[in-house]
Amino acid sequence: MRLQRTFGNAATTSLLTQDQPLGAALVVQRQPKPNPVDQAGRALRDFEAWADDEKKLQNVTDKAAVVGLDPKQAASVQAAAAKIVAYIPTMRSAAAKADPSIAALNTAVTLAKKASSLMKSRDQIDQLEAGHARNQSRDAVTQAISKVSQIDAGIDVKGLIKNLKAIEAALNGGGSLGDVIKYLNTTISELQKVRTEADKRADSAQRVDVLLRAFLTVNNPAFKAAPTAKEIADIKSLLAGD
Amino acid sequence: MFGSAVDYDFFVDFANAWGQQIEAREAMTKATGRPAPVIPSQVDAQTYFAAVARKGNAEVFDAYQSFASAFFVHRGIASVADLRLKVSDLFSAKASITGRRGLVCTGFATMGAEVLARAGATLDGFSVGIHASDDMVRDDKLEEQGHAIARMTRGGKAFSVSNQVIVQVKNALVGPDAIKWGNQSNPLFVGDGRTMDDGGRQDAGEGRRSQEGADAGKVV
Repeated sequence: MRLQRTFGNAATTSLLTQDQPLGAALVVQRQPKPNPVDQAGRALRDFEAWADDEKKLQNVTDKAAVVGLDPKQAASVQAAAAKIVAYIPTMRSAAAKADPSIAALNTAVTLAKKASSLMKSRDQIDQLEAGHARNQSRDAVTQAISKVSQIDAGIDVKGLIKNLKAIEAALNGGGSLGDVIKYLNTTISELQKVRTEADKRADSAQRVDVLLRAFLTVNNPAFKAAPTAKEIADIKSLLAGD
Repeated sequence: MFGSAVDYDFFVDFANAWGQQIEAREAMTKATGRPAPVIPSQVDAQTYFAAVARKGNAEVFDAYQSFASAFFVHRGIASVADLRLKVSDLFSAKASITGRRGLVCTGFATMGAEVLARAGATLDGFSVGIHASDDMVRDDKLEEQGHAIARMTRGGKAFSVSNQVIVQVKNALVGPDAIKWGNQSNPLFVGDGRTMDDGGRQDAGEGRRSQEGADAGKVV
């Protein structure tokens, strides 16, 4: 078995050292690689720990009073900023990917409503038409599932996909159209939240990048990627000035 | 974006400090007509406060509070040597990783007295106070229980410079509007002097026990 590094190793080793049959050990799965934002977050937490140690060493009561930025820490913060900024297009794209899914689900709702209305008719043609609309609604949900699955950027869409698959199954079987419409609307609203969240994450990433570059500039006036006047103006209202 | 801000308190604090620095630099640029550096020198500070000398007290006090908060940080632990630091020492100190020079209350009072004098205020003196029990005085264990201010007047208005804040009372260490610090159950000893060192010496040896102390009015 090919052992994975870091966390994976610990988990694998822990399993392999227990008295278990070989089969039990082989079910260990590779942990997903942390996304760049998580990696940057870990680097910044390491920086916080360094600042805390320095606070104690320098006998000051506040990390803000620590003097002398370790060049290794500066490099680590700079690398974190680069990781964050490189991930912004992925987050923006994740937000954009939610739009076709929302459109497909809105179509699914319209078709499910049509099917529900036609179902009330005693006309056989209407009944057939209702079945057709129901199938079209299901196809729209299937299409949405495929699109939602493409949303990444560290956004967990497993719950949404699970719900959509349940709706898909209800449309495929004889599930209540009333319930289908209700749950489709709930899922659309959740998906809109996912979209907003992805956009917010991208905006936050932009601000964190500017802040980290400001930090590097304060500690090294020759730093070449100092925030521009426009970047400062854009972020200023979000900084606590008082 | 990273989930919890709790793990990133340094960067949260830096965002706050940086915001203050941006605002303070904008105010400096507006007053002096020239761009303010990332970390202002003593000359930059003198120029800035001279440029606001014709402004009213509210604007000048605000200028001090913004400037002091943006470019200085209380480092917490004071020593006797801090009493003797000159303004040039305070401005020549290496800035911290948040772009603020570290000092203690004595430094704020000394620096505040210098820059506010440029803005037309008159220094009336420095006061150093310590909340100390008899045991603390006997054992010379007075650390972290002291506080220092500059007493000043501008346009007929008496005020005190207490860290990065202007307290609009004649002496912020004593009286009904006194600021609170240290263990207030211990008697308060206050020394006044023309220089910070004088105030400290008065406080340590010949100072008066304040009316605020447990033994009100007793002079030590």
